[in-house]
Amino acid sequence: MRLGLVIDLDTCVGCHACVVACKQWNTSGTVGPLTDYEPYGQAPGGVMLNRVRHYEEGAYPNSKTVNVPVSCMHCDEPPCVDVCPTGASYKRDADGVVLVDETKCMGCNYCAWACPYGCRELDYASGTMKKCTLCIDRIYDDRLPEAERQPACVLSCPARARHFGDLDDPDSRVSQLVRERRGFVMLPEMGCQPVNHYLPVRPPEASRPLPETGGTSPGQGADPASVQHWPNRVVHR
Amino acid sequence: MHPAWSVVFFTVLSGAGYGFVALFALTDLFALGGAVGQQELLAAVAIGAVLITIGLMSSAGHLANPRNAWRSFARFRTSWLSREAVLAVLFYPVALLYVGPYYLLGLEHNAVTMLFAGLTAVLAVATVVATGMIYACVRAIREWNQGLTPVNYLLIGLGLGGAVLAAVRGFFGADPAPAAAMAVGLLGVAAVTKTAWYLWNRRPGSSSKTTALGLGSAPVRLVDAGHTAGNFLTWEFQYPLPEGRAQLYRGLALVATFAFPIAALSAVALGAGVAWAYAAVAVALLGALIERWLVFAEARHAVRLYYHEACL
Repeated sequence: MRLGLVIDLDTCVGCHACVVACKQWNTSGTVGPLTDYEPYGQAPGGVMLNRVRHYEEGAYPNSKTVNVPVSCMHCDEPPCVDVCPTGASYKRDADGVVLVDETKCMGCNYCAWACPYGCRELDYASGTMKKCTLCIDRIYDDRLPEAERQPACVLSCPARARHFGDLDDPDSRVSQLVRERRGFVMLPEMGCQPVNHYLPVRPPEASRPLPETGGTSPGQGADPASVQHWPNRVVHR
Repeated sequence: MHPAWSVVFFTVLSGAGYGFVALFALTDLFALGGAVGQQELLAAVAIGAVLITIGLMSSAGHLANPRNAWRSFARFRTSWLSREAVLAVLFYPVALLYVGPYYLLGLEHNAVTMLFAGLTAVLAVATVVATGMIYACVRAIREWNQGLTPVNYLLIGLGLGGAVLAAVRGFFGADPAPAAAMAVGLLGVAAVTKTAWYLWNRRPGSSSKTTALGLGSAPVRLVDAGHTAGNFLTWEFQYPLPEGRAQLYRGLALVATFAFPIAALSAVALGAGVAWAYAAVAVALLGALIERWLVFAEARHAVRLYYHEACL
């Protein structure tokens, strides 16, 4: 089993709900607290296990905003685990989740250097490394209803841009998404073999009504000029 | 990368200490420039121990949670940091088994002391190589991720150690010329490999915003990083170093680490006063500190691709 996330860059609206939900859950979870620095000061910041950055692709006016959430990729070949001198960083055999045992961490930052994605952050207050746990304290919790045994970021996403599942199982929803949407991994040249996949932005043509070339529209039989046509196309996919 | 002074001091001082001990063991075994005296042996032990130990203690300065430092011996099968810790600690008893019996036997070598002298030199070299490999094995930092990184660490450590050795030999009245000649050779080769390291870093890399974000071929720019203040990623992995200043520091590092010490030690090797060896040690240590600081300050971590860096 290789648990991981599949994140749809096409539908992510960049609202940071996943960032907030992650922080909220994990600051009081097994890796918590995730320290805030100057929370009410001039430069508020703190430890985050998930960050969303916003990019512009192309040049205005032919440009597109792309929101890119990045959290631990739970790599198959995690360099952060290999370099850890204390054994605090480890990858679970059973489900491939990469975790930090904070009771062993000496805060040397070496794993953060080794991770090309910037997915490990030192908590200056505890002196230990913090990272995404894939909400290990949610996904196996029998007391939660089955539908809620998912990472907080996935549950909170209003655009349903985040999907959680087993990427080893070819029939799982996440594997199907990666197959159908040509999911890709970030920085493949680093050789980490990330488990998390990203679904690419669809070409802009996919969001526009098809040009009238005679014949019937491929929509739901609605008049292409009608108001329903556009939402139908969006909802359809 | 944000240069951590504790690590800069550690790699320079420990490197010089291990280099010194390795070359001292060889000098002693082969009596290069005359046999080692009792006073000189004690001084060499003190200098080596101080350089190495101050360096190792300094390295603990960058640990955020040093209470767990003892655990760093655990993962020597995969981690170069762990290997370095194991080798560094293994070095002490082996070095003691060399100098202890050697001193008690009245500075007469037998098979056992020779064996341990050789082992001490091997462990010293291995420790410095492991230090270099800590950096060389990090693929996320392409400036470090090359074969010349451990070569530079080793050669600069041995070169500094050779300069210290020439100064020690001269101070105790032995002939400093062989040690000075060794240091000149080592620093000369180090100057070449360090320059090659810089040239290699100028080659364009294969990572870009395109490979990092999987977006198409159109230019991509960061609009908003999602946070208003700094965070661990910006503090640790971004270090503003204007190219003009970097060039100045690079020039300083090359002159102080290599050019001046090579000239001064060449003079010593040709019979000039031992004062030149003292000057070479002082300037070379200063130069190596700048060189090591630059190794960090100039390193560009892949996470910068998610910020403003276009390609690495």
